[in-house]
Amino acid sequence: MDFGDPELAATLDAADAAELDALPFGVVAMDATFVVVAYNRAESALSGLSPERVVGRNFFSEVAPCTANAMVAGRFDAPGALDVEVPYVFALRMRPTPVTLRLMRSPGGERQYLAVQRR
Amino acid sequence: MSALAEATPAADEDLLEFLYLCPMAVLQLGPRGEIEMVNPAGMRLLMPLAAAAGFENLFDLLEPYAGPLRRQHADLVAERGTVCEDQRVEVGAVAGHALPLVMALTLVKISPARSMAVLADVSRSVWMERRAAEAENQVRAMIEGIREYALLGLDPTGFIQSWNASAQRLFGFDEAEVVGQPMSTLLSEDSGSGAVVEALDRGWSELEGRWRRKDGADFRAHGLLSPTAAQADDARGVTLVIKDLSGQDRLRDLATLAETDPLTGVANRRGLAARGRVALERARAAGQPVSVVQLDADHFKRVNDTYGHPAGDAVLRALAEACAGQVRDGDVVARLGGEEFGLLLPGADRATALGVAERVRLAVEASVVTHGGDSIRYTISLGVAELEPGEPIDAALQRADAALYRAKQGGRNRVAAAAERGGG
Repeated sequence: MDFGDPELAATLDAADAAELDALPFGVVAMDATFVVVAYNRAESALSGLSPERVVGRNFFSEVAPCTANAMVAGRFDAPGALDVEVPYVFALRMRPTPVTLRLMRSPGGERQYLAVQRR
Repeated sequence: MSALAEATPAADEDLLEFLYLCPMAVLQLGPRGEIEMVNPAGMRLLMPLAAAAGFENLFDLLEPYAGPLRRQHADLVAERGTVCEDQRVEVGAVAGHALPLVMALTLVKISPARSMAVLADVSRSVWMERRAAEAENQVRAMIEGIREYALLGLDPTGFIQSWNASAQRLFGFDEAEVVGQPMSTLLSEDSGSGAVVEALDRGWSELEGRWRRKDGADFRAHGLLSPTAAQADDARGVTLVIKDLSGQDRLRDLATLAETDPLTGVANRRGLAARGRVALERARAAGQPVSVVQLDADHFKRVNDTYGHPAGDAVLRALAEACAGQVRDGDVVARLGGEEFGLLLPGADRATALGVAERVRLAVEASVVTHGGDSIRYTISLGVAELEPGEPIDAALQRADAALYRAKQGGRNRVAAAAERGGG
């Protein structure tokens, strides 16, 4: 499974926890209210936060409040399918880290995703 | 039973989270401003600036807005110390910010190799400060720009608390001369303390009367007092707005002057016309008659020739007084020119006017004007006309003048009635 795969959102919808952990890029899966439902191994390695700490929290208010802006959180405002790439800089472990974010929601999907790949 | 915190993964995560969630931007810099560490709040704040410069170096990022930050940092000779504290960084309009972005930067050199920086977004408070300053300037400009008003603040006991350019212009006092002084300093008669108590009690009060300038001159003004709003009760003061009415007085004085005969103090021809118009309208509306009398000192040239012009002037003043002494309130005495006077008698018909004229004639005949040791006797001749329906005052005065002429022809020192208009 590739970060640039056009069918990534559908693939993530079908993936179980082990499959998410096997991905080489970070994935945050959120429910309709942005509560984190899955935080894969790659994402955990990037941020330094364990899934146990993050799952069950609201991503934009309790995990990464600095992404609660028009560039990231704002993309999820419109209902329906979403698949967009956003160049961004994360402060992963306080190091400025240029990343590409891929924000996704399948048509009719219950989950929404924030995938992270270092640039 | 160790009191030392263990270096567990969970403790490390706590620290990471602490920095991830910190709402203030925190950075660690290398010896030349290289960004070594930055928390997400720092990324977020600096991201709009980073488009061109990248995230490599804080001094590069801030150079266009923070001035010689790099030199300030290098100039700090000591190996450690504060480079700047809450220094304003004016970035201006940036994407994603509704207000012009202003940051406050604190930069501390920890060692030659390492510095720590804290950046706070102070856009909102700076914007509010500027709005408040603008509003204050506008109000000040308004208060200082208005010429006939002064605005000042009093404490609850009537002592002057605040003073500004408008008050200074009106009263002539400097701020230092009056702040802390009782408001009676500004008043001619009243102490003003009653008005202050009343304003605090009732919500407003007024202060009419005479006010005093620094040079001692007094002037008429209207004061409006109201309690200062939005303050704690014990700190309540009173705002006093003073409207200078001396300008209006001067205008009215000028108008009066233009309608007054300077020698005798009675009305001049313009004054008779002005007051006559009003009296005529009122009398006609009430269905009352109006009469005029025209009168003239007999042989006045002889008075001048015999006793001199100053004596002649004294006679004219005495004549004006004699006329004024025989008319009622609402009647008008006017000097029409030279030794010629006119009376306007609203409410008087021809018979009444003849009576008034005769009384004036008798008063003058009985009077003696003393001037410079001389005792001067003189007489007057008078003509009387009652205004006919629709007749202007000037026309009636002409008929009275014609009657006056006949009185002169008839031997002077007498009263003659005018022929009715059209009657010949």
